[in-house]
Amino acid sequence: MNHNNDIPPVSDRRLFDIDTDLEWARFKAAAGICEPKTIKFARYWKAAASIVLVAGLGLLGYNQLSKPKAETIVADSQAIETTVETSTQISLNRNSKLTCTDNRKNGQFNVYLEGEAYFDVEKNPGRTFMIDTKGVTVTVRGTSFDVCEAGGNTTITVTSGNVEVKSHATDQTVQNLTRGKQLVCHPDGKMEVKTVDNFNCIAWKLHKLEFNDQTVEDIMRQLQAAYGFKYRIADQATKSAKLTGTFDQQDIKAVFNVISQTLDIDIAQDADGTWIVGK
Amino acid sequence: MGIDTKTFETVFKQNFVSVTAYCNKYVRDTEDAKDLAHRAFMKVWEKREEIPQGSNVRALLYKIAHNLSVNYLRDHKKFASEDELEAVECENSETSTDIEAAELEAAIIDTINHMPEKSRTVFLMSRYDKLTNTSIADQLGISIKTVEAHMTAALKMLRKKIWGKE
Repeated sequence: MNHNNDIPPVSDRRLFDIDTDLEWARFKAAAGICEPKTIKFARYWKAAASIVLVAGLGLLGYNQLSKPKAETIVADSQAIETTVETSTQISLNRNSKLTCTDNRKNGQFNVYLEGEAYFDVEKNPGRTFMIDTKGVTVTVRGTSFDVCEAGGNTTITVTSGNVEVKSHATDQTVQNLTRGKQLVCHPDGKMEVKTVDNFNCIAWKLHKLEFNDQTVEDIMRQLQAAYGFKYRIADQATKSAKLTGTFDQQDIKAVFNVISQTLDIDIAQDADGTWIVGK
Repeated sequence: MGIDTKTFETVFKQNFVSVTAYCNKYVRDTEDAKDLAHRAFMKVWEKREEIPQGSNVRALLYKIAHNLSVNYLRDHKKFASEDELEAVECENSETSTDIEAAELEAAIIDTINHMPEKSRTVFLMSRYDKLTNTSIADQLGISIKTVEAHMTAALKMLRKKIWGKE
């Protein structure tokens, strides 16, 4: 067969990489289109969803009365990036929503978050950057960290600078949360701080994952949280196989390629798009 | 009167790639072309209340995209001569063959992006990365015969969807 007679006239290879869902999410964020009814919660959030949404909307109503410049950003099927103030970067994970209010009178920039977001906050001595979730208030002055609100818990993971966290339920405050520290606030308001060995939990934003002699079962769970895909491990031997390695800025197919070759196992997608891991 | 958000979302998703491809014919930079497409959609979004129902939103989009592209060429001095810029300025975006070409590109891209993953990868490597079948087979760890089978399947699908031929 001669293929050359009908080579499709596509002018630029990069046009194939346009993701219209992602572009639509960006457009919605830029246009301030808010569709709260379309928020899709991950399965494990469902139990908490109604409570979180009601509590969130209640606070939203209060914010809008006293602070008119509220802007709502929603990320449904894709994570999106946005800039607030002049250079504070916020990455909003899938199935998440945040409302920003620039409250200049009292020198505060307030964010109300449902779901998960990574913040890279610019240093600004003139104002305080505050993030509220259902469970906590996080106060920052120039730092990078992740806030994840799921299943009643709020988890804050700091990658640079330092933050202060206050529990709504108990008014307990934890100060000087610095790089590598992770704070979990439970539904009863109890807070615990631990040190993390890596930032795999925020790989959805940093696109960097480190595994140190971890099982495939554990690795797949973390990859799924970072990349968002369906998978099934075919057999017990594969589940318990162990791997050490670092993946930096790689797409999921490249990651699977390395795992597949290192452990000598098959990783392939079935007709539904589910990744089948193992023989 | 006006376009609701749901309808606008459909218009956006159906036309974003073709409007980007259209801008790219002028600006020759995919990232800038995407940016211009976003701005064209934003202008339509801002005017959504004034647009009568049933009007040709697509034509309006291309008209705005055309004007934005001309402004871009002027601002970035990306034209060979004043005559060339004037020729682009005078093009009528409603009858431009560039629109047809951009929409054909978008249809091809959509078809290829909906192919089974392996066929898509093989096809892009062959047609757009200009790799030989041997090199593709090596990189993907599959046989040359499998590469050929993916190419045949991909071309068959394109012919059927784009040109209506088996």
